[in-house]
Amino acid sequence: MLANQECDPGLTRRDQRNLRPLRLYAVIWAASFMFAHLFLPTDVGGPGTMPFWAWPVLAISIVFGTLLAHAYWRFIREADELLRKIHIEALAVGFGVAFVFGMGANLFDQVGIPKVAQVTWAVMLLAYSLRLRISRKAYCE
Amino acid sequence: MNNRLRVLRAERRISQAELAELLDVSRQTVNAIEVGKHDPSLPLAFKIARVFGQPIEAIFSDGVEAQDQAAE
Repeated sequence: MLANQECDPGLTRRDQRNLRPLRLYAVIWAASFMFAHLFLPTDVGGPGTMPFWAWPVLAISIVFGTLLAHAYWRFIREADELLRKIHIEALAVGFGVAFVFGMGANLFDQVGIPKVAQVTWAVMLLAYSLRLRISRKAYCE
Repeated sequence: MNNRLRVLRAERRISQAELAELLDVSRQTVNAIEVGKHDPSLPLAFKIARVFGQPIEAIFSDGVEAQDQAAE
């Protein structure tokens, strides 16, 4: 949240209402993802040899991830039009940066510098967050 | 795009927050329209026109007329 009152995102009541499930699903998904990441076995040798409890752990993470994506889609679709514009700009920048970075990472891999592609998601999130912040500031000053 | 939103709002002594409430948008959206940083969608432009009881073209202009007049 930006400290300057003038730069407050300015959510309408509808936006605030749509933000609640978005936050809830984000927290649950992050928790389920972390749980799955920490406790799922690593060397199981394929789907046929996975322990039975691994399937619901995977399913819970995927279900809440899908609910999170749907909640964000609904939030943007029904958002105040300036807020929607800000989010779409941030999504476009995030996608563009991730695409270029991800493709570039393949080249790094090709020349013997591996694992660069693993941070593509983090780079995308960073670019998205930065653009969100810049746009909010630009439109409300 | 140019607009007379701030003038019309001042004439009616409506705050940005009050206008935002009437239009069902955020105060920041009203502010961004007034300062020319955001062009409203057509449905929002119609809503604004209804609130002020004026046709859209009396509130918004694309600046082409002013350019034409300057050219003449």
